[in-house]
Formats: sequence, C-alpha cells, structure tokens
Amino acid sequence: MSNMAVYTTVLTAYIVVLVAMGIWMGRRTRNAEDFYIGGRQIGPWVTAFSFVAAYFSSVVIIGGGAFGYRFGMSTLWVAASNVLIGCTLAWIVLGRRLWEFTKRLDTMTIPGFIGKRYGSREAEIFSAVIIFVFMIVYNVSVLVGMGRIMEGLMGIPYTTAVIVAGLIILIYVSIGGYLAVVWTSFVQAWIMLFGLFLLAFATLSRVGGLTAANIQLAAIDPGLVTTPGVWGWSGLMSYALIVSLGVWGMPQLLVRFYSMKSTRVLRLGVVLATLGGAMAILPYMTGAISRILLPTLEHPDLAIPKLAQLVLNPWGGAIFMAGVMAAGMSTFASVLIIVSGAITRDLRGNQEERKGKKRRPQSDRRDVMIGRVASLAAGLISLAIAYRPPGLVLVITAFAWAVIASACLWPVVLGVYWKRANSAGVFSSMIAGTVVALGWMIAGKPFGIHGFIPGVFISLVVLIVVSFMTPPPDAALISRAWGEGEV
Amino acid sequence: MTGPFGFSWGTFAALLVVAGTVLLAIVWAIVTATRDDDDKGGGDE
Repeated sequence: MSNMAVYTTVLTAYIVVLVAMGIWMGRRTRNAEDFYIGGRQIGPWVTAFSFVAAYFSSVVIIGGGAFGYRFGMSTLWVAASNVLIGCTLAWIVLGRRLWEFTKRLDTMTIPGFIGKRYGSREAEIFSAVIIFVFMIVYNVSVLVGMGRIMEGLMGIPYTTAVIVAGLIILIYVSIGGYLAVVWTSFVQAWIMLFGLFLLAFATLSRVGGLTAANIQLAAIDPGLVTTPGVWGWSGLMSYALIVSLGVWGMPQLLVRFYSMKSTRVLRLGVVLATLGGAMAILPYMTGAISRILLPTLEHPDLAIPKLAQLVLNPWGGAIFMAGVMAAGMSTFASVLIIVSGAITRDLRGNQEERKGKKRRPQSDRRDVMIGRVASLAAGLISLAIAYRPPGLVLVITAFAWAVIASACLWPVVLGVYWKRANSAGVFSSMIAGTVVALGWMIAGKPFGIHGFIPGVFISLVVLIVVSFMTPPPDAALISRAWGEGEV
Repeated sequence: MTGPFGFSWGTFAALLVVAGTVLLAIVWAIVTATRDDDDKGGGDE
C-alpha cells in the first residue's frame, strides 16, 4: 500500500465518522438552545475533553511546534501556563459562576451574557462584532495549520488541503450544531492525544531520550535549554499569557461552562481537563527537539509535519495527521458556532423577546435554520481568507486572541464577581482594551511586548475607574444576576 | 547548572508546575465535593 493510499484511507474513515456524528446530532437539535449550547445537558467527560480539543487546535500543535523549534525548551513555560491558567484556574474561577449566571439570565452567548448582566445593548453589540470579526481571523489560523500538515505529510497542495478540511467541518457543524461540535470534539481530543504521544515517543527514541536531546540542543545553542533562553522574558511572558489568560475571555471555551448539565460536572471535569491540558507539553517539546533532526528548515511551521514524516511510518504519520486535523477541526467547529451565535442571537437580537412576545415553535425552527446558514457563511469567509494565508500560524492566533481578550475578558470575569461593575464601565473598558491592543500591535509591539498585555491591563483599569465614577448598576439587575431573593 | 534530564532548573520548573497543577485540580475536586455534600447544593441535576 502506498503512503498516499494509507493517508487517504485513514483520513476518509475519520471524515466519515465525523459527518455521521454531525447528521446524528442534527436529528437531536430541535431548538436554538440545542443548537448553541446542547440544551445544557453535557456531562463531565465530554465537557472536559471538548474543552481541551477546542483549546488546543492545530495552532498549538503546528504553531507551538514552530515556537519550540525557534526558541527551544523555554517554550515549556507556555505549556505550563496553558495547564495552570488556561485550564485548571479557568475551570475553578469561572466554571461555576458562569453556569449559574447564564442560567439565571437565560442567555446562551457571551455577548448575550454581557448585555443582560450589565443591561447594555451597546456592550452586547460591540462584543458580538469583535467576536464575529476576530474569531474569523482566528479560524483562518486554524485552517492554515490544517493546510500545512496535509501539505507537509500528504504532499497535496495547500489550497486543496484547506478547502477539503474546511468543507467537511462546515457540513457537520451546520447540520449538527453544538451537540455535533462537543461530541466530535470529544472523539477528536483522544485522536489528538494519541497522535501527539506517538510523535513524542518516536522523536525521543530517534534522538536517544530526553537527556540526550537536551545535551544536543545545548550544543547547538545553550539558550535552547534555558529559560527564558533565546526568546527573552518579554516574548515568553507575552505569549504565555495570551494563550493561557486569554482563555478567560474566549467565548468558544467559556461556552463549555454554561452547556454543562450541572455544576457537579466541574468536579470530575476539572481533573480531566487538567490531565488533557497537560498534553500541551508535547508539541512544544517535540518542536524543540526537531531542531536536532531538522536543522535547516525554511519555515518553522513545517517543523512538526516534517518531523512526523521523518520519524513515523506511514500508518503512524496518517494517525498523527488525523490527530492534527482533529485538533483543527474541533476548534474551527467550536468557533463557527460562536460566530453564528454572535450574528443570530446578539447582533440580530431576539426580536420576540424584545417585543415581549411569547416564543413560538416555528421561531425555534427558524432560529436553528438561521444559525445553520450563519455558521456556513462564517466558515466560507474563513476559507476565503485562508486561501492566501497572511502570516505565521501562532502570530495570527495571538493577534485575534489579544483583541478578543482585551474586549471580553474583564467584562466576563468582573461580571460574575463584582456587583459594582456597571454598563458605562464595561462599555468604555471594551473600547479602550480593543483600541490599545490593536494600536499596540499596529505600532510594531513596542519593547517586544504583545498588544495583549497593555490591552488587557487598560481594559481592567478603565472598567474599575469608570464604574466607580458612574452610578452603580440597577439593583434589580444585580439581584437577578446574583440570584438574590430566590427561594 | 543542569537539572534533571539535562534541562536547566529554570526550564524543569515548568514541568513541576504542570505536575503541581494536576495535584491542585484533584484537591479542589475533593474539597468541592465535600463542601457540596455538606451544603446539599451544587446545582440542579
């Protein structure tokens, strides 16, 4: 059997399973709540592993590997911050509160939560626009990662790879909605974990073990095994914070908390998500080691695909490719649902609710249909941009995450912890955070610091200062959000 | 100075943070389960 036949067989089998799951879940999707948050019926295993799959996309595998290749073992600190801040602390600090608040406020999107918690339609629309635009940018980086791995391993043109991957996801998301996303993500997380372990094991075997790898890396450049090493503190800290603290403002990850069937899901879920998240070590480490085996790569994004080609046999390579595709697809699919929600729920608004009318069954059917069309449209826009990729995978991701987190992180976190946070504070914080993050990056990242850091910092300061300078939020609004007075 | 597996100590500490985080998650899950049982709370199931 030729290499191409092996890859095609594995990939086809994998795709058939995904599309079948999409169609199956589509039959269980009856209303907008099913489409966007799975009817709030998701248990701990699926919540945790779909969180991990949505978090660690092809971006972390391809982009993280590329950073490991360039900067060496100090990138393990990025993985450590992913696990501690991006997984465990996010679950502990936000999980329970977001579940309770979104349930009380009867909302199924982050802009919807912001709008209802602060009583601000402006903040809702602004966050929905930011999410719509920059989630599409993020999706482009995910598609680029998938295209690169298919190009590197199968030798098919990048553009063909991107179109094939993108269209498959569009089919199962537009049919199956959130239920298809979480269940396919659950399966994809396991394929991704298996693929990463396979590559790490084969790579370590090839270089003679971890100690030998570090000795050989130190011989190339001692800065490849020390911290901050060749990267420097500003670059390392910036990226570590973007891809870990950034999670706290990322709607496609936060949605996992309010789609849980109860807060009891958090107990087992936090342990599973932490264990799954610990796999973030693997792409950074194997990327760093690939420098020994592939010393003259023309593009760091090719480190992991070329490494897989070098150290794995065709079946292993095909399984690993399925793993990276799984990582990319699960993230892309999760983001599509969020973008769809931003258009149909937040920008368009719930017309009947605003007019004080009772919902009708045909409205549910119409909302699901509009959600399907919106997710399809968002996916096609991402595909069109990814056709001619604008830069390094992790750089595009960091750009999109920086803006979304600068706009949404503190409105979400303080929204569930600080009663004094009000609509004026949150709206000015979102605008200030977005402008500063974008401005900082357009100015060429002064002092080597990424726009995320000043964006998130200014957003926090403005939210606190403006909230104190303006009247407190309406007491009824706070009572409803905090569930005060409930029996 | 070289730490375990040829890492520098500064880099090896990242792996210790990951191990410590797993421990933190387990402890939190146990504490929460105990507290919820005492409160008979923890959300509707």
